Amino acid sequence: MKKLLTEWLKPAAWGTLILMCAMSMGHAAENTQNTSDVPQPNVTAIKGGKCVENTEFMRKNHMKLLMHHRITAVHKGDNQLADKYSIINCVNCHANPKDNSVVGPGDFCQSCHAYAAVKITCFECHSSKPSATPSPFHATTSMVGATGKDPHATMVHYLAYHEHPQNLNSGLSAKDLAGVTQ
Amino acid sequence: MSDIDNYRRRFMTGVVGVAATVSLPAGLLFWQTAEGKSNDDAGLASAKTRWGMLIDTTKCATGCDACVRGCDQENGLSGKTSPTSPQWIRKVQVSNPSTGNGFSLPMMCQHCEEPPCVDVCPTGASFKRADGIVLVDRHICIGCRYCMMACPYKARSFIHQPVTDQLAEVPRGQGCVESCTFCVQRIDEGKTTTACQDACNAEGHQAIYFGDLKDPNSEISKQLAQYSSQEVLPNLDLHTGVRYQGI
Repeated sequence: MKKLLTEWLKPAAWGTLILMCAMSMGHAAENTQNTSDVPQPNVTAIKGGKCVENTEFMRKNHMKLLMHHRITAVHKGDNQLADKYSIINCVNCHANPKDNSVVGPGDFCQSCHAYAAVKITCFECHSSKPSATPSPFHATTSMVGATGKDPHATMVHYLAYHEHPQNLNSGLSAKDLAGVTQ
Repeated sequence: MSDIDNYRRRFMTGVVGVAATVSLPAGLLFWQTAEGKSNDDAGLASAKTRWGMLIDTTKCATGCDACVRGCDQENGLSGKTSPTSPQWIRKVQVSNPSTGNGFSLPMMCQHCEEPPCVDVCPTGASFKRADGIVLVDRHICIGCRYCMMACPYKARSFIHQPVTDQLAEVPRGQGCVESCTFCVQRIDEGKTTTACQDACNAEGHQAIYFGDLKDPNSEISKQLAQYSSQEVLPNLDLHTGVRYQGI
């Protein structure tokens, strides 16, 4: 037993200490980021109000939602216009009326992607202009009523399909699903 | 039993315990996955349907290209017919040199049950949907054009030039292969006609039937049951979704 203490617990205690130090340093860095002079992207959402999910969720996960919809729409035949996570709906709400686009300089997608130096290849194929026939979805209306599809089921389908629910950190909590069903 | 053996025994028990703790949530995850997948297939492409087309060449008018124009408009194609322009439908004039008899027909992707384009695709971009529609996933297509060489109907086109002003519902861009999609954007919206069919009907020829081959009450199934029809190149055993009358 004594041997166990000396050989296992001691290094384990050291490891925990080091880990806690690292975590607290990371936390400190996070705190200083908001107050520093680091330039922030200047993003205009165009249409105000609620997006399909809350802003923080969308900032972190919009690419996952798009990737999901890319699979369901192309391979499974999901209705592009009815699914609120479709790229068509992004463009319809976020296109800048000045140039009728989301990818011009200062437009919604481009302003953040230029800041993050991430190339947007979506619009080499997808239209960067609002669709001619407006989609039945609007953020303030109920998805179930408009299309007969249950967004809660869509979300569960997404999480199941990708088999990594933990990556979509706030995805499956009761709070967020409540937000989805509105 | 020595101290070392005792120590080893405790250590191994601990390892097994940790492994069990780690694998239990993983197992739950898979269970959840299986349940999720069987959950909501409503409204998605299903194997209970097989979309197909019947073209009556006796009604198809020589010189008429309404279907081609309808397709171009629906899918945002340029309508040009140069060797490098994508064409989803081509009007073909066929004639028998020994008798002089000839007729005209539209030729497009035949939506094979066993598509050679899918067999040869190195990336999995070329695929057949559950409802029998053969498509290209442009996200995965690398533009190698093997599928174009494999297709016995010469139905596929490669986009050589950058594309601008695409339609929102039909994304298309340079570097990918594309072909007739049976107006998949319409089908996913719940419609049951294609643009070429509508254009043909508007022209008054009524030469194109489109519908569910697995539904015995659909117009196309009734037509197929009543009149003789043929695949193009039936010897290849591809079981095409497009059939022709009068060829």
